[in-house]
Amino acid sequence: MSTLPRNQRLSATTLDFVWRQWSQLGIGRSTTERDAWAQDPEALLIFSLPIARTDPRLFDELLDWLRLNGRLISARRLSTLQPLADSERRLIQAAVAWGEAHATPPRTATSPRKAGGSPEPVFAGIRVSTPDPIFLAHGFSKPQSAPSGKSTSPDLASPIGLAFSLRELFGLASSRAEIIRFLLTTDQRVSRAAAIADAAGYTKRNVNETLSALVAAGLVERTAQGNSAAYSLDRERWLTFLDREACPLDRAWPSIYRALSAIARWQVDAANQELSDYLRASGAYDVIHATRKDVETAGIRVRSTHRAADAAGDLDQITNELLALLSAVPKHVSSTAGSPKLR
Amino acid sequence: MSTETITPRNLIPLLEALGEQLGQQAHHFGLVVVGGSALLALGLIDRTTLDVDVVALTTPSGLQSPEPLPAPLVLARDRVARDFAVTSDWLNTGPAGLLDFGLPDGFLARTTPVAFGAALTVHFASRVDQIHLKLYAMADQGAGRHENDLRALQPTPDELVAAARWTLTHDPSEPFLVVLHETLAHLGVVDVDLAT
Repeated sequence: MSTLPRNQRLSATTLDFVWRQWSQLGIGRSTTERDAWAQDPEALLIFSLPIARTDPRLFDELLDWLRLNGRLISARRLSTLQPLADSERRLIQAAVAWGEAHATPPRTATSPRKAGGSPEPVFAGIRVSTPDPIFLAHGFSKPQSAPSGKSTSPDLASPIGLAFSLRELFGLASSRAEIIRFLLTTDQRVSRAAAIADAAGYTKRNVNETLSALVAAGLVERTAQGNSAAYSLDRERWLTFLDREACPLDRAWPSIYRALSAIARWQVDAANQELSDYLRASGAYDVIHATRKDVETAGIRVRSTHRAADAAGDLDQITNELLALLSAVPKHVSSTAGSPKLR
Repeated sequence: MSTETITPRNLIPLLEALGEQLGQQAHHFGLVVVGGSALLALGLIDRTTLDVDVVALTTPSGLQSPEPLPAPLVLARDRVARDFAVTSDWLNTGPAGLLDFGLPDGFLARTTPVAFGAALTVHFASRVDQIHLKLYAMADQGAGRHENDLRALQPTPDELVAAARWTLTHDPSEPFLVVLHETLAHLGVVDVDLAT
């Protein structure tokens, strides 16, 4: 068990995780690590950028990755999955716009509206003599930097790159790639449309229409489950088609990231405000309540907390379990081994 | 879930938590508290109670009706209720109607003010004023816990008579006067002229 204070433990673990994920996806740091799971690119990007504000080198490498690989990122999913906080939303928009402007050739970027008021520093404690104009237009003060040029394209055959592989196959604008990724990696034998839509990051209506088309094409199977339909696919057949030996593992990434982000924000606020033990416990109670759905979707049981005095300990437990989900897992899981997932 | 009662042990932590929650909202309130919780806080009784009865709010211009409870106070109260698993109306304005006909003269000056952080001051009603309120409650609602509380305050006959005269300012009706005499007699005070 780490002896770091809880907020530092969370930030250190998530920063290390983010470096590890993007290194496997092609940012400028070589790695021999190879996680066995499939990543959710948009959810990972939304999670990563605020974390990278504590590590300017990571932040600039993410921008360079977006410059080279931004065409693989779905603006629609970014919009669906993006955080509610205005500052984080603008940060993501600025990073995407930066990648589009520095691509070769430049991809079309929407003109950002001029932000009013004082710009918010992207990095605390770094003096900005020449601000980046794109970030400035989104209300941020960030030192201007040239693309590092170190990024490479993601390895489409890697487990972590499954989403990109399917997008190359089905196209970025369709929900097909996300639906197949979910059905291929989920640990459920069959899945309802609502669960598929949540994971896919598309509306239920869109997912229902796409599922119908996939069923009509014989690529997905529909079975009746009670009064509604459930969906599955033949994993062996799909793995052969995709030329993969094993199913990547699934994690409920959007839920895990949302929960960890909320906990991290609260830990920073609590530390900054020097709260009393009681207010810290009361705040922990709020966080547990606010993240309960995501934590449970991530496969972590949330016990019913009856009083604030128990909440701080419960939240520590939840945080530890969430962080454990970020730990490396075995590289290969057989496609015939029943459950391909560890949630 | 909300099953806890208010005891001598948890009353102060509840009020401290209320003060901290109000501080988070950058609000300050002064509450005037009567009833069982005030008796508990001053160490005059040692029993559980269901709630903290707020009879008034203090303002620079004097006492003000607590009804309806201001929104920041409701928010803070509800968070404390959740956090300590007490009923959501653990802090309520049940006796606020007493303010309509007036509290005993000099009531506020006799309270014991206790600060719970910078955002909350609670003025606990004095023993003599609690005798007034408890006698009124006993005559109006019957004996039971009110009688027990009143006896715990060990009122003198003169204090009971003064209290009885004050209760008549709230209810001067003949039936109440009859009940009041019966109540006083039950407490050992007989043959008193309440008119003077």
